[in-house]
Amino acid sequence: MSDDVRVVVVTSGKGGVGKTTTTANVGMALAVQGQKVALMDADIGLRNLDLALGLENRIVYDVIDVVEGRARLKQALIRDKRMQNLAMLPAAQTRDKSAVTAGQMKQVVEELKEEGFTFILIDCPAGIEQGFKNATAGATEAIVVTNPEMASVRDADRIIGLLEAEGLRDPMLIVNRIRVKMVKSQDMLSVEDVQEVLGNSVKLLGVVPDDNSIITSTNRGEPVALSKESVAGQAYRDVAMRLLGQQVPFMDLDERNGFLDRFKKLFTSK
Amino acid sequence: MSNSWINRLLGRSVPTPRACAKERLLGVVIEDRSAIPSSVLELVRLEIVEVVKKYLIIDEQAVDLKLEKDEDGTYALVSHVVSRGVRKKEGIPAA
Repeated sequence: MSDDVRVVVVTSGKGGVGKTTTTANVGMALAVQGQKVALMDADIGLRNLDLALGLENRIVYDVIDVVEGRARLKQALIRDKRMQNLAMLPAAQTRDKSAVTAGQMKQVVEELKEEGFTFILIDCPAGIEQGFKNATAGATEAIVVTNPEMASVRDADRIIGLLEAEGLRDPMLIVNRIRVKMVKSQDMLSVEDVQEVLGNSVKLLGVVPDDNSIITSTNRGEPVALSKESVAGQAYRDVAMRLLGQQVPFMDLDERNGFLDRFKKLFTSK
Repeated sequence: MSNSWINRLLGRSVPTPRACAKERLLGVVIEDRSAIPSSVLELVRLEIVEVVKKYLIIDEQAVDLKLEKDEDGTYALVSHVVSRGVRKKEGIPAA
């Protein structure tokens, strides 16, 4: 039964492209769909997933406490206050990446599988060193997050190569922070450009627009995936549906900038 | 954006930031994947310059060497050299 559990690592290579935000929101959207979701922060020493979920005040134990036997997994897992079927395993904040081995991380993932979760999302640290190896160790699928920006796409390409070396073939791609107006004016890489550079082994899983609501909702500790009005929230909900095997068309982001939509927004926003 | 407008008015064709980014990315990504460091490519380029220079008059900065991916997935070293003529020197046949 535990073989049916989906274990997905969320990576990017480059920092600051939105891995943690993606993990939090895709996890939340999957939970809304009734999945039993565990989110694991593998960024040991730079804990952030707790902030994206607004759960930072609930942490007692972390993954290192579990690995070193000071706490049982059940004690360290934090249930989300909004979604009972969403739980987070925090990273340690006072240790560094060398505090765990890939084998130990794999063991934690195995234990999470035994807890009855249907989805385990692992938030991978930036970089290609030990932290990356630890985070990918227990995963069987990978999501690569990139921005339509040169350094980020280049690093995504590197990560795709490294994922393949770890046996994680055909990763899924999320292009984050796209600005449709800039693409139209030929000032920014389009989703198709990014796909062409990264090659066709990569499957497009989602396109998330650059959206202020991500900043405001993260500031409130409420994942944007819960916000009905937010376009980015819709994009994350679409990602969750695609992960669950549904064919969801990609949103026409351009339409949303039209006059009618702005007009509508006047009446729907708080 | 305003720059591209002016250029278009003047009939100049300047690659857009989007096109630039894509072309440069395709270049670096191929290099990253081939596992041939750009420093090695640069050493090869410099040596090509030395060899070609013995026979042809060239602008050293205009010698370009890059990797391109062939259809079958292999990498091709492609060099582009602009020559302004044959060097007049003993041992080199005149045109």
